[in-house]
Amino acid sequence: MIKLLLSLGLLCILTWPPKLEKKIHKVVEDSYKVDNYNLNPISVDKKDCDACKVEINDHLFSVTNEEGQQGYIYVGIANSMKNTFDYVIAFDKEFKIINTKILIYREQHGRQIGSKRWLSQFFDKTPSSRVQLGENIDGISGATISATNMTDAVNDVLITLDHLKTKDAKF
Amino acid sequence: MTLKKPHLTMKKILKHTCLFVILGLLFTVNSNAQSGKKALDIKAIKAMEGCFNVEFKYTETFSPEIDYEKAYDYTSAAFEWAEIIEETEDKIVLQHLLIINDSTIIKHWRQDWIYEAQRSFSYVKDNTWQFEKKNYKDVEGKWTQYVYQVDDSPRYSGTATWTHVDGVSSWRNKADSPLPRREYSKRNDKIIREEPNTDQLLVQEKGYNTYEKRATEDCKSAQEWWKNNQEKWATVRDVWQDVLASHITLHLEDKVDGKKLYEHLFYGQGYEDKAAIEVLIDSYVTKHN
Repeated sequence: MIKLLLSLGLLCILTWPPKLEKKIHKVVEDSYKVDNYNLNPISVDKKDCDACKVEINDHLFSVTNEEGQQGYIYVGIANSMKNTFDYVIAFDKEFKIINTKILIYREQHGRQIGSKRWLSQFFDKTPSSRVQLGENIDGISGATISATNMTDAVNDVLITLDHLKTKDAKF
Repeated sequence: MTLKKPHLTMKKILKHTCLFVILGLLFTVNSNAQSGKKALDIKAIKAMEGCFNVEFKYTETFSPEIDYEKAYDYTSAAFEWAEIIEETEDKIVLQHLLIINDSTIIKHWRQDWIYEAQRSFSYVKDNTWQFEKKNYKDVEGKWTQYVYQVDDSPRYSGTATWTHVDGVSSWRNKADSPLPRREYSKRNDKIIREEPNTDQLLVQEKGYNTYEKRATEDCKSAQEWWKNNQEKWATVRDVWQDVLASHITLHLEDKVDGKKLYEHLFYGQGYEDKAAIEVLIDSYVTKHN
């Protein structure tokens, strides 16, 4: 069993810009139907994450409230054509995707990936699922680069969670 | 660390929705029967009188924020009587009445058209309107449309030139407006986030309203209703005219005694004489120099 350091909310200081932070909280509230909750960062030793495709530390958080664990969110950054965008993936307690959102997009080209109809294709995927544009995720005309990169980002998060799962990680 | 829910102050009403007022009246203008441009203008304005099937369609279009979730399209239909209730050489007043189930009449909005008007009002925000005096050269040959709400309080105004080209008369203007009532009743999330000293646009919306004329006698119930109620509403207009005559920035309370102004005027008792209406309207009005 690998060592996972579960932050107790004391060690890590998050520095999300205020606008991003507001948007993340809105996604949490909408996804889990909660008003009062805590986001607890999950940390993993680098040596235990050798096959991780994405960073876990400062990106993966458990969502808890007085009723206990509600799920997890992953907050990441991916490339658009000429810039980067921020996204969030919300999981249930079993790491099944229940919501995905593009939070901040920094150019005019490719904004179609913010469409809920397109993003909902990721719903219900689990760490054992794989997603690929053109196969089980439809492409978007005029947003090929961003759609590819968002799909790859979700795929990488799923692969990473699957990897940690095989190492019997406990969050 | 533990993150708490941020404090959000999100209860301001959208006011930067730019309401695109396009009055494109598709009727044939027989220019041979008219003399002069102003006569054509008047004919175009007066063509808005009548009995109409009205359709309202609104859709949200572009949002600066990628995560904004657009609302469902809004569609509605109404049966409406529009009557010219005042006409002079330079002024035409049209009162619109809604007809529900052929017999229930609801006083709707009102539009006043004034030729070469130098005074106008505009919506600022938070139920506040300000006044402006334009130079004559800026309004020469133009008509100002003043739009009033169901309680005859101001809504917005705009000044532009009527054009009559290829048999189509049109008048086009752009003005800020308070949210329409449908937004209060159907939506509670169309709001702007309050950032320090700035208001942030959430989404743009396009509206498509059509008026299809039907037989005048279909609107008999509304014509009768107006005959029976016009005296009271003439008094309400008089009171508002006095209020607006000061041309001082005006703020209106949303509710007094738990009710909106139109609720008092539509359903309240004792608002038949001018003194009572003055007291009522004054209770909603605050003026700022």
